[in-house]
Amino acid sequence: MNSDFGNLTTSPLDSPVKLFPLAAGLRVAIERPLTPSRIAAVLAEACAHWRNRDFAPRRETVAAIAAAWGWSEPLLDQSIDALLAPFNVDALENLARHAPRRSDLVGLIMPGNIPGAGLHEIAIGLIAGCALMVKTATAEPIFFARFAHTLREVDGDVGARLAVVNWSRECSELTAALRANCDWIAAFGGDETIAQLASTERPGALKETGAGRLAAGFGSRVSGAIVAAEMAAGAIAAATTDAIARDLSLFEQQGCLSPHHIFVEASDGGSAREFARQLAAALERCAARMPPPRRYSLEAAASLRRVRESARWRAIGGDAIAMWEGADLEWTVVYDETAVFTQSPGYRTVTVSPIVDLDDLSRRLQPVAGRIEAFAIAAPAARRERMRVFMAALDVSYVCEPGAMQSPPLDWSHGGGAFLRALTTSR
Amino acid sequence: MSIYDEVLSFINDPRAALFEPLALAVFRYQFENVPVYRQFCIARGVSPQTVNSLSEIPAASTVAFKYADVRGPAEAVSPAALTFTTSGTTKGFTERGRHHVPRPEIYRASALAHLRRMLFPDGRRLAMLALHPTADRMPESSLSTMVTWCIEEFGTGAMVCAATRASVDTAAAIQFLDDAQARREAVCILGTTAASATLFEAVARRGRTIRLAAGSRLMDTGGAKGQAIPLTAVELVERANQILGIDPALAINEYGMTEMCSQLYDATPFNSRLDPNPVHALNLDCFRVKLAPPWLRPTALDPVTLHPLGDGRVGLLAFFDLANVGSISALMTEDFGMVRGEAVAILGRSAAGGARGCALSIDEFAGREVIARSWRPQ
Repeated sequence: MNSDFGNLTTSPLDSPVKLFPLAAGLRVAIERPLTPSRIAAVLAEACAHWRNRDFAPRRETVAAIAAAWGWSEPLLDQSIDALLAPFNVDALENLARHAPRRSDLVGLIMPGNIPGAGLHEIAIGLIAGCALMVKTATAEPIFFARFAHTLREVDGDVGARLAVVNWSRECSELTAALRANCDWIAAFGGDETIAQLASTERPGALKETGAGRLAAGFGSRVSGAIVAAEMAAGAIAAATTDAIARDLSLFEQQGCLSPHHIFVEASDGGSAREFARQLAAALERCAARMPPPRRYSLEAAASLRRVRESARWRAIGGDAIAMWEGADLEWTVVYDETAVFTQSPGYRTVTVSPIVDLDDLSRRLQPVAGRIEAFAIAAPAARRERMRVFMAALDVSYVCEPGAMQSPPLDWSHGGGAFLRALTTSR
Repeated sequence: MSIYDEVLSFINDPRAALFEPLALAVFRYQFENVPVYRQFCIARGVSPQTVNSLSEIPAASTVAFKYADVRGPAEAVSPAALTFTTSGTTKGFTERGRHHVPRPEIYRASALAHLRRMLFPDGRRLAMLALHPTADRMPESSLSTMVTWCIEEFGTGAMVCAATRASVDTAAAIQFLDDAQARREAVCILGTTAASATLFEAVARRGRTIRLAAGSRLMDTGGAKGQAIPLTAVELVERANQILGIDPALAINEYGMTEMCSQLYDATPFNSRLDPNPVHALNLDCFRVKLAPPWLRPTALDPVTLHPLGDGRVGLLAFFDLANVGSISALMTEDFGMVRGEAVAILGRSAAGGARGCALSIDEFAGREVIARSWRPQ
């Protein structure tokens, strides 16, 4: 992935010493009293600007990411629309009424897999009264840099509580300095990154003004969907498959909210297989509206190729498998009758399996137990509540209807609610 | 002359101009006689009527051998037919591939001819140390079979097999090498990279290195697989020199797989006039390039389109192996690489591919994965 974002982002920091004045400025900003409702209003205005596809910073951001990653602009636009949808005035004001009150300097180490991931935590943290030092990923250093700029333009006092910095993850001395300068940090990343940060709990070769504790780590999480038999057949199946196709196309299926595996209630394999076929058709329609990437990293392409070739040869070998595939690597649907939860390499690649009942689903979710972020439930109202309770018992953070997976509410317990807990408990 | 005899004849007397016509004949044979390959081709909309050149022959993923019964006609199977199994992935034994080789004499001819060119170009016979179980100990291993053939063909009779399925007997290996050093007899060491690393550690631990006679050589295969702390290719050659006294040009890495009856070996000044520096040969900063035999045609494929890439572009490595005439000759691997002429740079395995191969047979319970640089979803 090309990471040349030119002058649209902050220059990468090259020295730990430069973090100290930034942290000092943020601490000064915390001291300036701001009401949660004012912060919420400022965030709402900034988000309103960013919901406008013609807003110049958004256009520049989308164009830069599209150019660097090879993703299509329509896909990025629809993805960012979905991300920003919950950030409206009412929701932000409601958050202001209920958010805990803090005045910490929090470090946020952001992921590079999708633009805007972590925006919920920024909103909650700011509304709670914290100042945030946001370290962006080298792969995606632009979204938050540009968003912070908008925030400063809307309201300098609120904007002063958000600093966006960037360096490569290899610069461990800068990460240590971030922790040394912050009261606590939250980090998004792969499990190895989180484990590495957790294993160095007390960095601080520099003068410590904060504890730098890793209070919230967001490691690898996966999502899926369950489709009740009533929603998998007939005219309604088309709406269900369209919504699921959108959920898994947005952000090129790279986020923790993207579904990997769809489980279809079916007394026989035939109806689930037909649902998989319809999902393939929906993905093809989706690809027309949101064109797939113009290019893939070699590694990503090889991963997608492996999914396809394995499915192809398992089918030839007699397994209960069927596959539908778009041109090149545009999208892939694997119908696998007996599969347990199967992680996808992303890029619109999904497994569909029939299930008999929730007990069957429970068994199939074993491989990802404790790591499920979201589940879409397509079911008649009368049956949805039972499924919702089932998901709650599995500690699924976000349950929604198909089509809403990429738009979790502001109080979403991302990663099991680690950030909210840290805001409530960290000292 | 049967297609098998035609291939054997080509291996014994390769002529570049005949490769493509024979490859097309092999494709036609496999389309007609290997049902799962025919099914694969038809699904791709390909048949002998639509294929006019080598580049149009669809390459089957090596996972085919894991999931499907890749088998030719029963009448082609000789009494000596062999079936090899892959050593599984790090996930365990559940996903083993099986390669049925109906005419092992073709595999043998292929293996020995290229060994002669790449590991024994000086025509010497040597004492042999096997750091991988020989075929009598591990008949399902294609590497074991190849090691055994190598010992039979190029050995003097002095040999030790210092490996079982479970471990490398480093004490026996060191004793054999000490004796050879005392006799000033050159030795050829055959085994996995992991087993070589184990031997180096054992020699280093005892605190006294070995200086093998000039002409001693090492053939290792498998790379990082199964190694707790993987040695790089450069480190392996350096250790072989420092610990055993093997000339770096005679420490030669093999690239092969159960699913393919032909192999590639490092090009060094010992076996090739090709500029051994990949920076010169391929404009690529890797340690060494490998050479394919004339009956094995390497290509790098664009993983998105599966179209062949031009010389010097990185893609998924694919091969057309005439020696695979009894199964599937057009194979796509899960390894990244670059091809220029007969020179191939192996650049690593995609993370999705997982660790696999012979080295795991000794250390497959370690649960280690080959980690390739990759950008992973968070």
